[in-house]
Amino acid sequence: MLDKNLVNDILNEALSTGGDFAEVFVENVYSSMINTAERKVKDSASGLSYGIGIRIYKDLFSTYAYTNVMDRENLLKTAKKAASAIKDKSLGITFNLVNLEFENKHKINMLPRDVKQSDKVSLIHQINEYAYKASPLVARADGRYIESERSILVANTEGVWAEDMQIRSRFAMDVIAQRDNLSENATNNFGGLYGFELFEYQNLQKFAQGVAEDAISKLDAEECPSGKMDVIIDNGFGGAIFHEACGHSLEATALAKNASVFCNKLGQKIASDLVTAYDDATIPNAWGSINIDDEGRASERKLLIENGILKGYMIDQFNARKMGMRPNGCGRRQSYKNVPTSRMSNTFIANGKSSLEEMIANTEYGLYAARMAGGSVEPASGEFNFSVDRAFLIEKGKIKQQVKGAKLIGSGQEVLMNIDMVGNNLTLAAGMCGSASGSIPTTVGQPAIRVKKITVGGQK
Amino acid sequence: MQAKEFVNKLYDACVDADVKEFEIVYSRGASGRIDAYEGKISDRSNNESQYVYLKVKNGKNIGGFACEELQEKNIPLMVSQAVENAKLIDADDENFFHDGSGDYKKVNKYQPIAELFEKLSKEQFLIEVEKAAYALDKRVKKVISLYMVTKEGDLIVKNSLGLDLSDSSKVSYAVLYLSAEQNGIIKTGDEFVLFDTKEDFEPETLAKEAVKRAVAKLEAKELNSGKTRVVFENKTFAQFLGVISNIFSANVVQEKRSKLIGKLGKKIANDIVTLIDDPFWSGGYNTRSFDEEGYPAQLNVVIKDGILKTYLHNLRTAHKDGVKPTGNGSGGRGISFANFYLQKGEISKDELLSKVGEGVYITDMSGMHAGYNSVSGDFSFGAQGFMIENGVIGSALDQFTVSGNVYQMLEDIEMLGADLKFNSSGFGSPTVAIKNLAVSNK
Repeated sequence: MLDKNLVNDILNEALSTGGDFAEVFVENVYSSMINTAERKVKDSASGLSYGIGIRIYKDLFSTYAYTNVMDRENLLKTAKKAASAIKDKSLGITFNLVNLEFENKHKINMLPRDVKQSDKVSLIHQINEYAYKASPLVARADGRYIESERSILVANTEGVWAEDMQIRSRFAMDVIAQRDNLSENATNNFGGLYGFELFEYQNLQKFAQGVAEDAISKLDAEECPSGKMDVIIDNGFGGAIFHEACGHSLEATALAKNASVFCNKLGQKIASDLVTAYDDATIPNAWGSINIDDEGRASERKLLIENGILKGYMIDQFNARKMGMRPNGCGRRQSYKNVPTSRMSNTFIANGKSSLEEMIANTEYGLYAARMAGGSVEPASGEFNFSVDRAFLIEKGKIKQQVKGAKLIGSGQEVLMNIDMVGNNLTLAAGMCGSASGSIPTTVGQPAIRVKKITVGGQK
Repeated sequence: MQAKEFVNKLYDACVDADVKEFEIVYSRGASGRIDAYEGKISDRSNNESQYVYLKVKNGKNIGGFACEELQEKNIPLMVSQAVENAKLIDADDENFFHDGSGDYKKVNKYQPIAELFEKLSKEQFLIEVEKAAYALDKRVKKVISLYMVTKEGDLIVKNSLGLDLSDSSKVSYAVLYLSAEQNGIIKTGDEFVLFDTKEDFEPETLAKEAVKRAVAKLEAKELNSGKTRVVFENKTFAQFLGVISNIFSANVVQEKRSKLIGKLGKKIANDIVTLIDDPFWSGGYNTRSFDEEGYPAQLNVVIKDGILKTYLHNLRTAHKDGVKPTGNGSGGRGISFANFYLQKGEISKDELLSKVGEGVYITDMSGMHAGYNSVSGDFSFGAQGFMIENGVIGSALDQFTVSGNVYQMLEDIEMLGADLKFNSSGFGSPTVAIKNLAVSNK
């Protein structure tokens, strides 16, 4: 993507004012999007981005500069600009850039750019029709397909030269159901480190029918009652609760500044004995997976919590330096315009022993959260909130009335301790996570879990 | 290659390729950021970037291609991809470029006070803010994040119909995010300043407000669940307005995703509600003389005394509805707001609280996008705030939820303060009292 000699010169320029480490990140992204509405293509756009980020450390000080004017003169000027924040003598560091060898765990069969746009459109229409056919109450079924080819190069003064290409495809659907004056919508999506073959791994009809059923069922939902109650959160996107309530607080971004409720808790009990959790960036073709991170390190499977005991953190390169710990391949960023930091990849609670049926049967009164929407957290206080997209009341061990507009709030520390049942139906779900280094693809996941006494907010 | 030269070559390439109608947007931006942590400058960045966005019209549709690498080799790719994208679209509505006609008003945009900002030692300012934050209250546990950003940008829009406009912008702001602790309970607070008032240049201004917001939440108690009168702090309701603003967007209405469909000229809110989108507000954060389609900006009264007067339109949605554009084009299919605000009332915040008597005062909301369904108007957010007891602000509350329906809420707005405040996204509101919302915690 950039000539090795030029990168060498940029890194040397970056070290000229006394920095002890310099890094170059070059990124080239081709992305494309097709949007449908009411059985028509309403939007089609694509683009090419190409730029460089140059980072320098001096002890615990860091400086960064990015540009997308990529001629030699401007690149050296940009390195100089970053270096000008350090005012010392060069340390005389020498390095030799050596290719990082790694196995590509995420094989791609059909490069998105090799597939005709009209073929993509036909497929989107076909999936939309599955939703329309599901019920006459479906007023709209709008599919959206996005794809990207992201090539990255990371080179640094420790001699790393690492290149990779990440190809991602994702399909999302929004269905509006209408009856008389009532309308409700539901959305769902699937995605992965796949080319166009993404669609071969899904039962498309089942997927579309599911979204349609979600939307239709909300037409009969009542307002959700408020108060503290037991909540069963089902698998897949239900993992958003772990992502918000715990995951962000285990990122070094918060830990290095002593601004996480889980600081200095390694080896201590932070969750119920039933909880074991991982952040695993190595799962083949998963939406949140990577071969190497945006700092040129091989990705890892990281044990975060084992039987309730805190076992590990997610640590990027610069925070590793601050914390005196080893970086574990999770330095990520939205683009060259962001300074990378520790981020999640595929984060999930491992399978337990209970079946979902058992969990429901054992609940006297509570909420069954079948599908989650998004949420957010403040790592410093542990306070989180998130929305439930599809929920039912449980009375005397049976699923009853569907309810809408439920919001769950609480603190991560409490929720982790209050998980009293863990199911055996683990699945993952694709999403986007926004944080310090921008918006990046991540998956959340879990089997069904039951949390004792969580605050539910609704309109009733 | 120089940007100007690239734009000219791209223009010629479109003409040569027999593209009848097209538009080229060139944008350049530069930004810098300084972070302070534990008495030192900890991070610095210094950035620049540019892109060109080509839009071409094929039949009724417009397709686009954005490119950051302004090299001559990419010109054929840009033209062919934009044309291919336009051909792929088969929606029924017609899209347009604007020819540059109309009255472009001179506007007074937001900018930091230049003479003060030039003299400001940014490093020293940040270090002093951090010091002030710790000194203000011994319960301040940690200044987690403290930084200053400066940005400037230039924009050129030109098209084959004769439109040729340019614009530039400058923004500077500082952000402080900190935590406070008491008896093992940790709460956070944040605040920003935009350096457009003299007070913003005093480190204490930023520190005081963030500290106040964090320590006020300590010693919080739980709130009983139920329906109650709710008062929103002005900037909190401004944020709320930003989240729900899409129900007034013509594209959302036309897609049947807003319940305001068919409600023009009808009463949709309490009589005291007047909602305005003002691109000419002096010093406003979204003040502009033209929208992102190059159409002249206009003052739009969206709700007047409770009556819905207009939706906000771009060129496409206006043509579809047979009305004049309102100058709210976003450059794509959507709508962009100028300075969108709820007109203030006549009483002070204290007077309003004393009239409310008992209720809940909300100062922070979270999880807003996930907790809002624009099709039904239902919302349920995480919230922080205080009890209103005997007409004044009482004890702090642990995080609770606030839920309701946006369309109902417009009718339930019962009092407005005189303290209109804009947030940095250009949404503005005074203190607002709502009759009946569900809150939950205990």
